[in-house]
Amino acid sequence: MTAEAVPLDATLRALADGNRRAILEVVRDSRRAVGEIAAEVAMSQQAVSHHLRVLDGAGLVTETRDGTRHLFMVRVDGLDVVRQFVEGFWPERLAALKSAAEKEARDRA
Amino acid sequence: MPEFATSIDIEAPPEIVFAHLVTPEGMLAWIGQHAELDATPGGVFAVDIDGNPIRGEYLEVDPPHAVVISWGVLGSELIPAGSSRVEFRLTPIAAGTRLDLNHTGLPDVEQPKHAEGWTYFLTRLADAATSTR
Repeated sequence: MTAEAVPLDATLRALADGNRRAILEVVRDSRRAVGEIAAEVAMSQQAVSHHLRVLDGAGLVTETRDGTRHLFMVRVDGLDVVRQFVEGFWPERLAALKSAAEKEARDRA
Repeated sequence: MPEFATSIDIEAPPEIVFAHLVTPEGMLAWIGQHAELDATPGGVFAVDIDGNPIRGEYLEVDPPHAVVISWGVLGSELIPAGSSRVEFRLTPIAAGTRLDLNHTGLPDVEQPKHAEGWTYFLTRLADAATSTR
């Protein structure tokens, strides 16, 4: 999943949950297994797995495998939501401005 | 990423492009669904874009060369109303107008170096998420 593919809304929704922010703090420095994360945040593995799926869908964590273990770590690029927002926002809007101004210029000609 | 810059060439004279930055009719032709604009220094810049209330004020109005506005989202902790700065610079070119856009003063979302910064950043993002919808 690329950073550009995740809309701002998805990232903000994923972050608008205290449990998920707590999980992100646990995985910010090193790769951790679900069980380790669950122990640190005092939640069930099932709940942690659910939250990790949401975070993964928003591009906020990456998952790797170590043998049979699934390890998770924060994906810093996913946090760059403001850059994503303006980089998508302005080019699209300016293309619309170009169309509007060129149409008016043609109409006046 | 405290800054974003881009430019686009428009086949229309600067006067026409400029009008699209300072009048509600011109603005709504390319951005937003509702606009309240007072294109004088210190005048209100209020445009609702896809449900986001963008709020700020005109800082510089130099027809037909430049428009500078302060820019933010009403109620957002991440980008409060008027907290960032958007500059539109218009330069005449053979084909019409080159528009240079520079959006500065955006919150720095580089990886925070300290745990406190990290927590603060995440909390601000969460506040932004809940207050803008």
